[in-house]
Amino acid sequence: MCTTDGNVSGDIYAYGLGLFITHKINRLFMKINLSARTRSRLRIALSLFCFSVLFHSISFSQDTIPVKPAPKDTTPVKPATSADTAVPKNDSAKNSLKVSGTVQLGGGTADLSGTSVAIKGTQRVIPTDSSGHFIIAAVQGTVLVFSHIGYRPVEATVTDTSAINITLQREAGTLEQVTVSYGKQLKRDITGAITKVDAGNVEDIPATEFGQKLQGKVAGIQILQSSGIPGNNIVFRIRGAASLGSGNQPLIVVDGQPLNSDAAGGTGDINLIAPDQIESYSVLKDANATALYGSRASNGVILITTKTAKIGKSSVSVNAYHGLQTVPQRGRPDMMNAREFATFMNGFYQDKINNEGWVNPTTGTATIPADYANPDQYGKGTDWYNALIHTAPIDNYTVNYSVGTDKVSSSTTMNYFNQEGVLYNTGTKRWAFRTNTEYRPIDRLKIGLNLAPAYQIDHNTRGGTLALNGNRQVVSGGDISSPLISPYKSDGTFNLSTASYGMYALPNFLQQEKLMDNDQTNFSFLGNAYIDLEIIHGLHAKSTINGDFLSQDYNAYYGTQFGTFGSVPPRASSSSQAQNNSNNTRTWTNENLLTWNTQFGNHSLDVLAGYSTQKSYTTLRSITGTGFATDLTPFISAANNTSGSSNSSSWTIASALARVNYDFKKRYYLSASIRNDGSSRFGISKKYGTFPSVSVGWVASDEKFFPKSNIVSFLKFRGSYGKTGNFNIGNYTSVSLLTPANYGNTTLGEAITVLGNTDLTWETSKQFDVGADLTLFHGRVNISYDYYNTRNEGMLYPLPLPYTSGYESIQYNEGSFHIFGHDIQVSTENIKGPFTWNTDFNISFNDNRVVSLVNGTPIGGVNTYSDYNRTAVGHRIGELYGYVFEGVYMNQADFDKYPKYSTSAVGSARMLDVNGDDTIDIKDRTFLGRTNPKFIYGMTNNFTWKNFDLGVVIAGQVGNKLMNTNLQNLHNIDGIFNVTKDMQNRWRSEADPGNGKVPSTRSGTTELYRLVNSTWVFSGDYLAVKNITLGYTFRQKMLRYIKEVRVYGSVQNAFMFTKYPGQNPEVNDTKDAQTQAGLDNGSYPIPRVVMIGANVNF
Amino acid sequence: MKHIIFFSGLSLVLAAVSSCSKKFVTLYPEGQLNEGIYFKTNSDFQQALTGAYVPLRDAASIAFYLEEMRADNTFFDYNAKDRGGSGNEVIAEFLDDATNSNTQALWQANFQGIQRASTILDKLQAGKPADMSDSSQNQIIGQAEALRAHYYFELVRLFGQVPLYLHEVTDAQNAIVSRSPVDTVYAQIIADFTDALNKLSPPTFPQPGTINKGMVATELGLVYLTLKQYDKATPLFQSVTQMGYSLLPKYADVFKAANKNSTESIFEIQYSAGNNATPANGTVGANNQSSQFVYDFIPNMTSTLVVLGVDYQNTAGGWNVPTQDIVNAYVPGDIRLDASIGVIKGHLNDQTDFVPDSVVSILNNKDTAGKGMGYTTSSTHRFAKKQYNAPYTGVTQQYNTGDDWYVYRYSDVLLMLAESLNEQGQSGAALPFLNQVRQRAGVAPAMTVDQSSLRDTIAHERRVELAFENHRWFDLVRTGQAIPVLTAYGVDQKKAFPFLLSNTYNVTQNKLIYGIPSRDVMVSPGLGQNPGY
Repeated sequence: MCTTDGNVSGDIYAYGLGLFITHKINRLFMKINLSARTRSRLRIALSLFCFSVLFHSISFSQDTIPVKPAPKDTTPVKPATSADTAVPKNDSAKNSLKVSGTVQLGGGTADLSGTSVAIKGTQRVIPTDSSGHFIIAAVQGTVLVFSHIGYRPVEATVTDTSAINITLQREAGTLEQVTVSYGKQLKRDITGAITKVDAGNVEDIPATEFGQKLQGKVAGIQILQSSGIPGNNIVFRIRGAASLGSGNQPLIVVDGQPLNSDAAGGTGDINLIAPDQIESYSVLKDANATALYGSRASNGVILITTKTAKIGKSSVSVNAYHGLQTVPQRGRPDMMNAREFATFMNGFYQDKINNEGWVNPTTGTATIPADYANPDQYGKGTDWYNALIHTAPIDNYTVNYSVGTDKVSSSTTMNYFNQEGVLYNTGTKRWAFRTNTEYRPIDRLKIGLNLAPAYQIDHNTRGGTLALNGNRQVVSGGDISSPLISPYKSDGTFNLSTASYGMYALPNFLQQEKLMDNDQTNFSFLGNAYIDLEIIHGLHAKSTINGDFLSQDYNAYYGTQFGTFGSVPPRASSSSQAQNNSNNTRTWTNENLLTWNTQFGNHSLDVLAGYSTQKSYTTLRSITGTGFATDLTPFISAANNTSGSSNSSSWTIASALARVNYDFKKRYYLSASIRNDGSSRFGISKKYGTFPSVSVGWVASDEKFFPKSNIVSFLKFRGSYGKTGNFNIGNYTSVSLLTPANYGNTTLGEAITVLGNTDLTWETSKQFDVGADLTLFHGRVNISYDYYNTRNEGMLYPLPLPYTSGYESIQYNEGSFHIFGHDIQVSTENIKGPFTWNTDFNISFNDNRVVSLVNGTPIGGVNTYSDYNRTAVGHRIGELYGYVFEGVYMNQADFDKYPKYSTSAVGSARMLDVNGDDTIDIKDRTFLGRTNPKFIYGMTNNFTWKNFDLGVVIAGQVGNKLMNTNLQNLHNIDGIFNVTKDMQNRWRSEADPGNGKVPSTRSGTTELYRLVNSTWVFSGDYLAVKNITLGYTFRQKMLRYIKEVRVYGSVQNAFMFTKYPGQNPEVNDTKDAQTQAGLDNGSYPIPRVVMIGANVNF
Repeated sequence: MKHIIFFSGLSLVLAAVSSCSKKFVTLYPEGQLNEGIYFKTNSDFQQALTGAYVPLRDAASIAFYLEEMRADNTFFDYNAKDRGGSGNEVIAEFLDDATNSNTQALWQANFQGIQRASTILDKLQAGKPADMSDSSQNQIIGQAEALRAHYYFELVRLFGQVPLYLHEVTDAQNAIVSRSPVDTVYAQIIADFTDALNKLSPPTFPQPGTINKGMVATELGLVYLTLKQYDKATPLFQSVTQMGYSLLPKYADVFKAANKNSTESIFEIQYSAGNNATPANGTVGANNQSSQFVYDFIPNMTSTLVVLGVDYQNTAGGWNVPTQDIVNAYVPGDIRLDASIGVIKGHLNDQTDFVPDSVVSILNNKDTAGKGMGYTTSSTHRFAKKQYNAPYTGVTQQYNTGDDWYVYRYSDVLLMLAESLNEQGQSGAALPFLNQVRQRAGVAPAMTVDQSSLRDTIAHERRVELAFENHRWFDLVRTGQAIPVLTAYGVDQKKAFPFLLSNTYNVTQNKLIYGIPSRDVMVSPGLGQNPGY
């Protein structure tokens, strides 16, 4: 077992032996046929046991054979007032000096808590008091290291007792600590493409999801707010789309714990992390940075570090803001008002009478229906879009308490967030709590426990039978409702129908919006326990157990007043329906890591090896009840008929990983890593994959030959190459599955409905990245540049099979594509002094090409309806695809001259004969534009003057196209919907042909104009002023008991400059599916938020 | 040295740990059967065979668009408010192209059935389960073969050349097969039916609703009739007359829910109502065996209570609406008119939506045709009544009925036998079979022994006896009458319905088969397309 001789190699051997024995016993358990669950429990228990024995043996051995100077100090640390707190006992024989002094910070910040003084070469650290004073006992020649987060550490050697006064200067950037895969590194030492964002810098941005805060901040990451529904709408693309159909969202890792991704059955775990719990974000972009996450890293990784307490710092802070959300005028649909619509419909029926022998069935005569007979009687009528929205509040309150001593640091964050939606009766509320505690009972041991429960209520934001946005749902349905009808009757009750004569059955969408009753509650619990033991100096063993629990419960009721597109209430109570869906997901991760850090001469070596297992298990239920006596009992217990179903789903991943970081003279860097993953999701023969990466770095500015000047202060070149993967497909898709298929009254049946693929494996991304980091003018200008070139192969995609095979698709590793681009990030301190002006600017160019697909068969662009994109070889992923609208057949001569569709007539829509076969059919659809921008950019300007601060965040994109698929409804000229104003200019006769851009309303000829075509395509270019914040800070001198108060006012989504006629140029109906990107089907509006807030530090 | 020991030790441990993780990363679904544990017992095969019947329902649920509404028996109610059904309309108007969703759905359902049948045959070929008796094996093989032949027979008549999938599809490579010539497809159909004929037993009454020797002899007879091989068709039909089938005394009774799988039924697609049909979460439950024919055939209406006895809104209706042409085809006194076609009277509400008032007999409302009929905004509507079994009380979901679809009835066999004999020059021998059908219908016996006029009489008899049972289009095509008959019909249609465009009813040789669904043309290299699509 684990030895107790204290010998270093013995310890190591013991650790290795422990793992080995664990493994052997595990094998034995397998033989004696224990359940997988029991085995995994035993495995965890065994590894904990071994660690505890190991820990015990080492702490036991300390008294006899100290491995290194081991202080026995148990006095709690107060801000240094007593000299001997810092005196190592082993050194007490030597001459100890009492050294005192003061530390100041260069920027003039009064609060110095968190400043520390360390004795170099030991783990001894003491904090200063809040005004920067310290006293420390040290022997002559000791080197003291003074540090404060965000400032460059300064070393000073103790020579005598004279006071040491130090002023720390803000870091130039390169010495900043950055969280990387499985550890932390100084920015200077990083050879991969990583961008760090401090949460403090984005604190003022109101956000349900943390992604909103990162918009415009990081080169190479596109963050889009796909709709305005509170929560669950942020879409990430790190360096463009990496996948065809298997998710493009990055892996989110919170404090080392990889979260369950959406595609894996989770439903928005990310959303349940309160942004105020977060300390910093690291966006990992290239293979070197991400390869340690192996088979799920190809979309990039976002590492989230939550708030922890700083040693010696005790603080309470309160953040609060309150805002009002309103929908901007820009981008609202340009629908006809009442008079315009009545005029349009009057003409519509006149044409029907003239051309189609139409007779009013109510009167039996060829007369215009009464609703439209006299358009002049109407004014503006109802603006349904406006009727559906209101000004809504958003509130956020956060309290953080943190305390740090040399034995314990603990940080607790409590957060309440409440966002009402700008559509009535929608919103999200969240209560979130997180406490991160680390115990350091002895110098070489850290035990941590992080707990983060969160409870969230999503009110009417999770879809349902009637959804808020999307085709003919509330927003889109409101657009097409008749402006002749008012929402309310004269007695104040709702008008049930909003269809004027001859219109499609449309309910009152305002009534339906206010009636909506579907709530989802989400309870999540992230728990994280670790033990980190320094076996010998520089060698750490760390074992972690993470638990991620998510429980969701969805309840909806559709009563007698429920209506939807095509169905106007009231309806029979026998049709009333209630729905309950719930799921519980538990995911655990066990990680055992060894890290070893050493220096010899000019060489530094940092080695990591580990083994990790993760399992996720979900159970789900769904119950439906129909037939309710009244609407007063909206739960299934009151239903006459119920039906339900339950199921389970699980996945596992087991991985071994290793990394070596080496540098010579902090000038030449070499890093190599490898991960081996086994995943339950893949075919029996292809479960394992290996993901290596290698990178090099060279700090050229440290070379002797490098010209020393005041211009260039730092220059580093980086290069990396590596492989990562993507495993975001559903569970069990590699296996052929049967589904019950009954026939006749008595016999049970089964049929294979999913064709499995035993060769299924991850898609692989091979990434090459070169970059440089440049610092000019002593840190006033920092530039970072990366070029990358990625080849993705074996794309996971449901390969469409011909229906003749009896199957629709097979999950497949299909084809390859190529992604390339440039990321540029520039930070400048433009003006220093009493007035400061800093600018962060980033711009990213990204593009892709499909290199091959199975059989060259394109994806998408196949069906007549609802199929707007095509992915084809030689093109980009998911380009818009449809007919090219040329105008209308203005007259008989036109009609004779141009190719025709099967239902063409004079006056009908004329599409381009793309394939030149002299007829128009589905083969004449073509590519209508890219959905990925040519480049995206962001710029943040921060100004400070005296106690004022001003920040302006700008973001934008250029070069992509969007398709407003809602125009299928808004340009429907069948006389059944309200339409946009430009439909007035339709073709009515050869003598009155309109503007040549809108076809006639002749029966049977209108379908082609409703099919996907180029009139729906618009430029997606935009420049958005995302956020403007003005703050004022009251400093200590002005207030008692309170260290600092900052009050601020902020406008989120302040201005939008775009030619896109829709409301939101970041819109994306499908959110994640890049093969169906760039579509706008009438989405929930994005509000402008005006807010005030305060940050108070006690 | 220490370090070397350390790292070699560590790598050994890691290697060992990762190899033992194989079990950890091998998971199968707990809530669903998978292929690895299936096809092991007789019961598994019986269940898989049941599964192979299911696509019959999917096909029959939409086949009326392509096999009845394409011809002159039925049309549709023009729905000005919802143009989403234009894909159904263009089939009737001969404006359909290869993107038609009905064409694709019928194509898909039949091929799915073929795949399920071929999978069973392949798995059995690979090894018979120990608990399967020889007779059980024969029944399973015979039914699987008959199903496959039936699916192919429908496909070859609708699409011409089609790919032959005679083995189980197991991966993306063998999922792609190019089309075989029509002759080869027919040869396969005949081979499958012939083997099934030898393996299956004659019907037993009451019938369980599965395939037996009677169904196989009937359909194989029709195959030969289609191929004009009357010498082979006649004995098959004759054999069916010896299997115990008989006509029910009253024509209207044949279609009553109580008479499912009667002695007149030779092949009937089984549906059943159920409350668990389609849970609201969108997944189709295993128990979803319901049909919705009646909802498709009656007009759209705000409430179905008066018509169906249950209160739902109907937005699926207005299809397969009997034409004036078929109404006129029934001679006076033919009791089949009232049994086949119903009339719903009602009025329009403020939104110009139809509100039904009563269901009445066509006999008193024969001439409500003309203006209005054929529009959703009419106040009088005809509907095909054979699947009408109101009231549908006890079913608590919309679009959920248990009405079956009739594929072959005994009267069909009698008429086919008459036709086959007549074509063989035995017109006199044909008459008794024809007159057996006419007699029940209350129509005077046919006397003529002139082959040509008897041919017309039999064809007309088939039209009225089997109206709305998906025989009309196939009969017109196989007898070469489709182009002249439907062209003339189209001229009348355009007069009656001014909304029809001038290029409708352009009935050409190309339009006698449908376009290969464009999706598959795209997805399956080398599949090709039929001329004119």
